Amino acid sequence: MVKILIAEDDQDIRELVVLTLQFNGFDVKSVENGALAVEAAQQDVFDLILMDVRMPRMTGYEACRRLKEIDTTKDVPVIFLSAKGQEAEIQTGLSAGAQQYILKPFAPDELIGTIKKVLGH
Amino acid sequence: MEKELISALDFRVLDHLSEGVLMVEADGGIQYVNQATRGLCALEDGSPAPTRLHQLLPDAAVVQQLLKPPAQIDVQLRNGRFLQCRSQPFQLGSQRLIQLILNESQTQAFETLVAANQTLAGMLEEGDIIALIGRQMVKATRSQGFTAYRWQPEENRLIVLSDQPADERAAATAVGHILPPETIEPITGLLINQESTAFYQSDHHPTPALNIAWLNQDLPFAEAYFPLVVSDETVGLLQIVRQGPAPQFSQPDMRLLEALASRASTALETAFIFQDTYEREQFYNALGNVSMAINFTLEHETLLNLICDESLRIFEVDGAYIWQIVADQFVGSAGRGHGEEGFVGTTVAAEDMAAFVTTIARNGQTTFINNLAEHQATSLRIPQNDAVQAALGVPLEQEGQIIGVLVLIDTHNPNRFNHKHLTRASTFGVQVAIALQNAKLFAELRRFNEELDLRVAERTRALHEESNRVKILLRITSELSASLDQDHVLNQALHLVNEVVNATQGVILLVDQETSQFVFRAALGMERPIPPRGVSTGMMQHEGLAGWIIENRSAVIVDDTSNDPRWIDRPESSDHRAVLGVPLISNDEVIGVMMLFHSEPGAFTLQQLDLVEVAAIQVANAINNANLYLLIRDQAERLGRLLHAEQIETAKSQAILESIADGVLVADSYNRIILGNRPASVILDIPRQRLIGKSVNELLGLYGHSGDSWINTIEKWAQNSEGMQDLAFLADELTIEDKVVSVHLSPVMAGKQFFGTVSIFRDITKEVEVDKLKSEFVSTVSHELRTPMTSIKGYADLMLMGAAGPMTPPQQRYLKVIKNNADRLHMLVNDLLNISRIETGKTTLDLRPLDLPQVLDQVVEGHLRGRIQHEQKNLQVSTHIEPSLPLVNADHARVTQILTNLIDNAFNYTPENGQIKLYVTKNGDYVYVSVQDSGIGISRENQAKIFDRFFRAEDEHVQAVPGTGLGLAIVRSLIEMHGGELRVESKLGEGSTFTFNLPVMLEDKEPA
Repeated sequence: MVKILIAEDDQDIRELVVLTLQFNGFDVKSVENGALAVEAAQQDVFDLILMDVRMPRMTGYEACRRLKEIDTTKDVPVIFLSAKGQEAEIQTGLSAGAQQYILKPFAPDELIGTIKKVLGH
Repeated sequence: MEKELISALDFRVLDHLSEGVLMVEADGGIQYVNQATRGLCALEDGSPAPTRLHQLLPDAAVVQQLLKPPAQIDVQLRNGRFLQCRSQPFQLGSQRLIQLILNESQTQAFETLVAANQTLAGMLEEGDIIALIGRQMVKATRSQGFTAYRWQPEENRLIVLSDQPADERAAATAVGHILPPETIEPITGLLINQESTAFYQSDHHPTPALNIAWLNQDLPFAEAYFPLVVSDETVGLLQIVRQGPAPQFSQPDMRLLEALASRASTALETAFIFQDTYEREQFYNALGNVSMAINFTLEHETLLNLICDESLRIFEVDGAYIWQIVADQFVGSAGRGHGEEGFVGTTVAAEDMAAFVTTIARNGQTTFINNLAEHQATSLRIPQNDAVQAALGVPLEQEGQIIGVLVLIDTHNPNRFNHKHLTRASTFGVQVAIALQNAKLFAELRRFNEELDLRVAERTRALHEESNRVKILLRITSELSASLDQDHVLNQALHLVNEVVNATQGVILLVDQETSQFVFRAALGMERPIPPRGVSTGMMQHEGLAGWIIENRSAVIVDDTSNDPRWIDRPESSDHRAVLGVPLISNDEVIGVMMLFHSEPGAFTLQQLDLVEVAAIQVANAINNANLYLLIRDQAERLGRLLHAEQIETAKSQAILESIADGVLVADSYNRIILGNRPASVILDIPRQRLIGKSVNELLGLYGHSGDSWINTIEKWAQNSEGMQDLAFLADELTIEDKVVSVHLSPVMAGKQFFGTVSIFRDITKEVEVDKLKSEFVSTVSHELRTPMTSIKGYADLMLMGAAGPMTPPQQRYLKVIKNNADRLHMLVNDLLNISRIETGKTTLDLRPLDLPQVLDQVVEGHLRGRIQHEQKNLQVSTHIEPSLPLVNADHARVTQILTNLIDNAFNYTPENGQIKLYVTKNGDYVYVSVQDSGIGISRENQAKIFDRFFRAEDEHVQAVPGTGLGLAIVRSLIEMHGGELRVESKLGEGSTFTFNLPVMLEDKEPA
């Protein structure tokens, strides 16, 4: 089963994403912020990481960068989820190492679709 | 001789002796005296002889001596005469007598000589000398008489000078009687040899004495000849003749006579010299006087007559004549003396060789002819020239040329002239010639003087006239200059000019530039005065005499207008017969004419014309000046007004500048700040004084802005002001300490000329702040809004997906409503964000070469067809794309957004079975896209409003469609950001067409 890590500080959205992924047959782990995401990613092997941008303690960009520096995690694709849709933001995200950038609010099928694309299904 | 005396008893013989003989008794009683004694004692005939010896000889001692013979002593007679006396005893029969013989002793002879000398000493007259000597000779020798001759050696003849018989009653030989060579042949030798000789009749030669008038042919005669030698030359001869029974001349006689003759020669010589000298002196005195007189006389005719008069006087001739050479003739010019009447005016031809004058003139030598009667070949050619005996001619020479001849004549003496006359006459001739020359020169001089006087008078007159003219001109000039009032000036001018010309009437006509007609501007002698701005003549500028003057730019005098074709007759100018007209020329342009008229033909002269022409220059200048003055005055007023207006404007501008909040700096074409308002100085934080004069470049550099490119651009404007685009400007933001300042710099153009730049500085710190806040707000809001929306939509979706278990239909419906509204919310948030970003300029375009048809195709096929299918709304879609369309310069995403929006509108507002047509065409530098629908259309009043934010039409169809009312606003902004326009054409109920254009990509690039 595909294992996905989700880092999101908003509880509602975090649960939404978990449910959506689970409903679609993915194995999901969720954390509240970037730092925990980095930890979790090292402790476990994930196929994909979904990262919110705006999080306390460590932003999604920072976390992504960190992950890309760690051998065990650098090859794990990262998808950003954010309400910030400006071009500049997107660029920042992509240059931080993310594969994709999904704008909130997103439709669930949009999310699943993108995940599948990134994973190569 | 003594023997004869002693032996003779015939006392009468004693009378024939030249010695005095006395017979006296021993007591001194005189018995007999002979004739000679009587003579010696100066006893007159008939008077008793002295009886006693002491009556004769006063000296008693002498008497005593004599009475004791033999004795020989010098005695003095009572009458004073010195004699030598010899006494001898004489036996006369028985009487013892004493014979006394009285001789003119040597002493006596000597005394005679002395006496003669004494007398001679005072004598200077040739005639007197000869006469005296002759008398002495005759007396001393008791001869019968003497004759003096002049000898002419060339002709070898003697001419009687003086003939004095001792007997005064006897007839004398005529003076001037000529003894020809044959007659004098016997004595020629002694003349040449200068020897004195005595001839005795016994010689039987025919001698000159034979010619003597008083000679007693019956008596034998002896003649003694003594040549008169003067200056070593024989000039004459003295002849003494004695007659008697046995006449002879003793040795003593001869010696005495020779001495006397010699004395006479000497005296003559002296006399001649003296005479000569005297004559010369006289002559030269006379000549001097004559010269003076001549030289004082400069009148030619008077001079000539004077010369003749003086010639008569100093040469003592009978006639003097002057011929002058005129052409090749001798013309008698003056004559005095014999034959003077009728002389003047007579002519002698130059070829007349027989004429005396011709000879003189040809030879050029003073010449005389004596004995004219014998010279038949020569003629004097004067009236009554037969009477002329001798003539002397003098050539009158001036500068090597013979100008005339002076001829002197003698009607009495054929031998009048000799060589000494030649010199004197020549000298005189020179004087005469000089005098004539002087007279000629004088005459010339006088002529010159007269001419000069004439000329001077003329010149003076001319100068006087000139001076008058100049004075008048001066007056004209000064009077004309004194006024700038044109009417006054013109009338004045006419009056002043007329002072010279004295016309009866005059006008000044100026040409009206607009109508090309002549206008009366000033008049003289006319009835009606000219109104201030003049009155039209009705004549065009090429008409009439005035027109001629204008065309030919020339002054003119018309003597009679009735004869001149240029003159146009008009009733009011009927008595203008003579005209003097001049053009008025100012700055090389003919501005009018000045004409003066006279009722008499030919009244005007060329001199007047000259003057008026000169005056006309002044008049034209005065007119010009008056005009200029008006012009200047107008200009000055206008300038003053302009200046005033400008000042007001400047004040206004200044006020405006100061009152606006933005900082304004004005720089000149050298980028130097020439003007700045207070806000500028506040914003830039530089005191105003230091701003002025600072270079803009410095300012820009000062605040850390790379002004180089700006400097370059400004320079380009300065150099290439023609090529500058209309809206060229530079804009940027500077940070000055903690302020954000926007700079807007644009060029100032006046026409095509670059004047400088204007920079506007605005403190936009607040705006920037606000913007930042807005941005942040937007960012924050969007994020904040989106987050809950995500949950709303997400969970709704989950539930709809069945993640919370199966849903009842109502639950599904309600969930759909929730989801729809969440979508609407989402759209609104997006639109809001979009519009706010566009407005704050946050939206930037990623411009690339774009294939518009391709993008359209994507939207049509992807989005539109998707909606048609999905929402099951049947609409016909067609695209009409022009072939070979160029790429446009645009942002792909935005164009997609634009097309999507317009196509969505078309879809939304077109009812079922309608059409949507899409056109893409090229026009100029743009590609045009039209979205046409057959939908509900837009009312006219709404067509403008639809582009406003949040506007949604009241129509129910519109309201049915969910929308924020921001779509078209956003789309229009995006199109305008590309440099295009969005337009709508629509008819309510029939449909709408939205058209926009995008700029063509200028360079070929790969499409995005």
